[in-house]
Amino acid sequence: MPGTLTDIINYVIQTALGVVGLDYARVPEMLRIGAAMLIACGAMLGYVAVVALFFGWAERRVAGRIQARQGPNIVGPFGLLQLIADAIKILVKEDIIPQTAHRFLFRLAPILVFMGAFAPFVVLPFSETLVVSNLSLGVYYALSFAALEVVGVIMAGWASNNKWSLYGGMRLAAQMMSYEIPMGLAVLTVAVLSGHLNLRTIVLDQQGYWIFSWNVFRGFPWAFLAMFVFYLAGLAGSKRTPFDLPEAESEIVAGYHTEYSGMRFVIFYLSEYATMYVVSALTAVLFLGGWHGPIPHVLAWDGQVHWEAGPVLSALIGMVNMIGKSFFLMFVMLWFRWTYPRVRVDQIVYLCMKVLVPLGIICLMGASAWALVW
Amino acid sequence: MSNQVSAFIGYWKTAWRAVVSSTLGLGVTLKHLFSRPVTVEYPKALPEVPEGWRGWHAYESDRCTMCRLCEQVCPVQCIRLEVEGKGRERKLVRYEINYGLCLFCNLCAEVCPTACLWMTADWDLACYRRTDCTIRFHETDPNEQRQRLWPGMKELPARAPKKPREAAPAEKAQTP
Repeated sequence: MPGTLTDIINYVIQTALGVVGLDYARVPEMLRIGAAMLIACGAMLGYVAVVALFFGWAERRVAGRIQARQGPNIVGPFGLLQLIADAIKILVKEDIIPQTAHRFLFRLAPILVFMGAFAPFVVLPFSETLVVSNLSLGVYYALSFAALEVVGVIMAGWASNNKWSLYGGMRLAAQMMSYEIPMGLAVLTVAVLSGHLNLRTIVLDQQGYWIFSWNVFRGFPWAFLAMFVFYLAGLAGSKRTPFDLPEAESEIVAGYHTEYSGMRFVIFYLSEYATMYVVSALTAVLFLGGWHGPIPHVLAWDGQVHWEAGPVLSALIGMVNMIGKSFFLMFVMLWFRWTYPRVRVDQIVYLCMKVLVPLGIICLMGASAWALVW
Repeated sequence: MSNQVSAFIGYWKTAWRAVVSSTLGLGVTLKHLFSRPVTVEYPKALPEVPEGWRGWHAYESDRCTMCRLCEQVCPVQCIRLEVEGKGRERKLVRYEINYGLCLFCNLCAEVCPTACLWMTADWDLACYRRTDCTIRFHETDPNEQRQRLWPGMKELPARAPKKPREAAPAEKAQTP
């Protein structure tokens, strides 16, 4: 059975070339790896775009229903085609660069931000086989790319040559940097519990007794608390309400993307949803059992749960589980947005430094003690 | 020392209160998420207007005595009446109400001695041109004019029943 998505793509290419009559082994290895990587990343890019579009619609729809309105419901069934209409509208919009902006950095910033948001998709496992890259330091990889986003946002804020943009960029930088501490502590809790940093192995480790082998319940109460720490820190890191100070409309217009319009603005938007998805998917992988479903596919009589579906079926079921969990956690983010008002700057610092960091340290110490005992 | 202890207890109390109130807030929004939207999708569904809504006028020329009271009482002079002939031979030539001016104050309907003019629950009065604001009650049925202004418009819900103003209190007395 192939190991990762790249292997699967390689296998498909090999078979296709075999049909045509070409020998795949004679293709240079760099070309083979490059082609597989390109296809895998293209698939991921498409997935990100679809997720962002879908949640652009879902956000408005959920917002509408929570406020007893309808939300978009005219274009297409349930207003689903609204997002395509919006995409077309945005694509034909004029792209404006302010005269006093730093043109090069202004153009570079959204690309960096999107890179930071998109890179973690490479290590997200959708099922046992569907991983683009099976990195042994997957969690570190995913977390470290958040730094790129910070750089991009500061760049956007500075290059716009606008006070509000600069304030927004600085606010976001401070927020993301400080919230990476509790995030890292929560991840360490899981790393101590499972002994791996490879996302795929972490999920494989959570196989077993229904939901009780998921990290949330296996490492109770430490991992349970760590999940909330991770999720809240991720929420702050993806600058969502109630932590959307960098985009506080009432104070600084739109924060770091005040001056952006058209396609470049969309890239910021896309990367926000991509970050949301990454945080949700990481929460699902680290704490909620990744691709393992709450109901086991096959339950043998020795009390153990066995995955005895074929490779294709198990990959499909795993994908459905994984995407379902991620989407649910993303929905919770939307739900948060329309429930909580924006917090103040001092409250953000309080939550990070006085609540989440101590809690994270307690979780880490508790999990370490558990790891020592067992 | 006791100060630090109380601060410590206060910290946990605050944390607990935050958790409880956040959960309650989530519950409220979740309840609303699954409740029915209050939006009325206007062209598809017509809103229900409350009783006593003062909308478009209804006018019954048969009972009109052409006393011009409505014209005189109107605070914005939006009613225009033209009469030909004298005495019993009077004939109504023109009865117009300019809705661009009308306040919907109901004074005209209140002074009407024969209750031939009253206000209906007909609320859909938008038009494209300023000249369309003036409705000629002597010429056509106002509902027909409305259809002309809004082709393809769905029929409005049943209009207010044509009844003289005096009949209303009597009916009220019967119902209980």
